[in-house]
Amino acid sequence: MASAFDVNVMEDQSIENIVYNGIEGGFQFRICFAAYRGQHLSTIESLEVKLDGAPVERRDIRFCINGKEFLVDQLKDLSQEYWFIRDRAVIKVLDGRGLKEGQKVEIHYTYRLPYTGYFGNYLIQSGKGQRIFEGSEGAVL
Amino acid sequence: MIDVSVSLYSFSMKFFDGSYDLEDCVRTASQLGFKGVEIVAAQMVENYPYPTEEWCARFRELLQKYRMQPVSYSAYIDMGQYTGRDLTEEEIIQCTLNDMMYANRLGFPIVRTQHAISPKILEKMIPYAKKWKVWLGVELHHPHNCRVDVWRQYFDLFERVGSDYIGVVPDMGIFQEHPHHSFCQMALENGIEQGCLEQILADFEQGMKQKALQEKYQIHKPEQLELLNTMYETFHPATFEDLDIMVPHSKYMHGKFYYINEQEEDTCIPYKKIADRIKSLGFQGHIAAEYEGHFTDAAVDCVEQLRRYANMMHRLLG
Repeated sequence: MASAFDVNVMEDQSIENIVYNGIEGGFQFRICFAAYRGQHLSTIESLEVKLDGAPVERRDIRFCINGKEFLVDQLKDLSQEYWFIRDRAVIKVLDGRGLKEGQKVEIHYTYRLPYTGYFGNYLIQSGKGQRIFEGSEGAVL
Repeated sequence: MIDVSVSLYSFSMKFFDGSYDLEDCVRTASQLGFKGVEIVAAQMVENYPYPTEEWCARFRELLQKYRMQPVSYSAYIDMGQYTGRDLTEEEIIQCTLNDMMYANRLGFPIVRTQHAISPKILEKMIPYAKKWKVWLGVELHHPHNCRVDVWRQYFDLFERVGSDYIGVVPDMGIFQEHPHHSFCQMALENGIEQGCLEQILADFEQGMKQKALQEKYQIHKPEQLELLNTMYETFHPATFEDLDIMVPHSKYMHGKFYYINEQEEDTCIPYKKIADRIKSLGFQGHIAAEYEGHFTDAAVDCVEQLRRYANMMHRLLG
């Protein structure tokens, strides 16, 4: 018995390697917003990715939605950019290394519920997920 | 005339997991015998808060296709939209006005807002409500009741300026009397034995204080303490006299529920007493089914729950 929103936020089979001009760029995957309603990206309070248990550098992470790409540190200012709950965000990890079969990717983000409190005291919720890269022939070019 | 409608929020689980799209929600609502719909705009409106004309046209067509009335466009006061500060008064006015204009374009006669709008700003919205032909209702939701400070101010306002354009949207969740089925299931899953749970509930219903109950049953585990807190915070109903205060200023109610049993009864919220009272008080408007069991038990089928709720309410309201 659990909440309907207590899910693995990483979409199954969504991990792909990224290759730019024949150079290994990193990898990407899709995530959902584990909530009943959409919110502005400014309400995301933290976002972390781990690869085989080790944190990925924040500077290597990109958050992509609504046809745009953002740095993690830009999220807090994106008060006009909405995450509709049926849309998936793409997380890119541009650390210059593609994944090998069997590697484990984890994500954890927190967000405040913007209507729950006033003067800074907001209820914080989180989304988390993990998947094993099963290997693929193709790559995002 | 009291109409039984539905908040499409009741389909949250299916909309979230992708098994229902918006048309599935509207079609099912129609098939279940509901008269009209509420949409939680931040949940189901694409490009919210600025839906496209194309989306608006499609939504209006959907309602016509399934003969559903647009009842309420439900908005939030997202005080925490910006990082590091709350919304200003001007921003609250602009966001609310924006929702009212889109409600009008979509054919909704009601906009539901939240108490954070404040009585002062709500009064300022009256000319816009007149212009855009929407009634702006503030939801009175658990843990509030009519006696808390901010609500005394709202009712003073309604007495002073009337409630033709602004008013209250009572959420029936404030009348929760007994821990519901899903809550009891959670208690069992958190290691409280069936027999013990029954005794706890009996003592709770008899009015035993939280501390005494905690000591009697030696409840110390964090997850069990959390459940105990929830039980004492949630299941202490507003009095039925609150309906007497709210109904004269209401055109719309939220029929909150968590679980309707196979006998089509709610053992948590006393809908028979509510139905009798709002009928005798002469309530005119919609009461919208608002299923919220998805937060406690994703395995329960929301469509079956809505079917039971619709049958129960049609029976009780005659």
